[in-house]
Amino acid sequence: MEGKDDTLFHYTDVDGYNAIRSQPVWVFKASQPPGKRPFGAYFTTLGPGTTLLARRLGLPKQKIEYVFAFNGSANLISLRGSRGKIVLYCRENYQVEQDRQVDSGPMTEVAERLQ
Amino acid sequence: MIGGSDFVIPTLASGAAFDACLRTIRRHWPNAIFQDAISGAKVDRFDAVPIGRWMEMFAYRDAAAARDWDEYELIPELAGTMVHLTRSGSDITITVDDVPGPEIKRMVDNMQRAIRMDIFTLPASVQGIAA
Repeated sequence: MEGKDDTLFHYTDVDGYNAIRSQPVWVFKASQPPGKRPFGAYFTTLGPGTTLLARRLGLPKQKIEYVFAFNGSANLISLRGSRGKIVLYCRENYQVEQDRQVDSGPMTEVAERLQ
Repeated sequence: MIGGSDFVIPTLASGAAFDACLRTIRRHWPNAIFQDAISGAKVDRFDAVPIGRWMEMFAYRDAAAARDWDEYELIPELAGTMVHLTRSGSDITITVDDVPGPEIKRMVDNMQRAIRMDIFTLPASVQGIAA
């Protein structure tokens, strides 16, 4: 399932979820991902419920248990190569104000709400 | 929230390059299982892969590895048992483990070599270059 329109998603585990949702403005922290990728905060166009989601993002199960959905892709860069169609990133911490926030929570619950 | 190591190979003939990658995988993993990343459909023969239709796929070392991926997803024990291929009109991206082991590195090297060789032997029209 692709995200609707320009909805983007950030998947995380329970610790990441609790840290991000603790503030009214979501702040996705830039960090160094594995595999020599650029330093940044990463997002995807793939919505919750997408077939083989964890595998397509190269993540273990527990890293997709929670999701944040928001509108707009301002200041985001497509990953180099074909995966740039589904993976975007920001070189710095990325803030999402309340008017762009769509939903957040356990991935399975958000998937049901966004259907 | 992204994993794996990407090897991006520019090509204007991504269908032929995809085919070259699959042939290379088959040489390394004769019992490989191939899966369409969009639909989840699997085939157990290289010649059954609908190369023209699949834009993103997984190749597993064998049926046992494919089953383990379905059960556990990414776990350290499954390192070196799956390769993720994505293509667009301008490149093939090969995604492997965060820290690929020697066999996967060799496979990626061989895929890159096979794509380059294929491109050199393709007619310009197939490569997408105006004659």
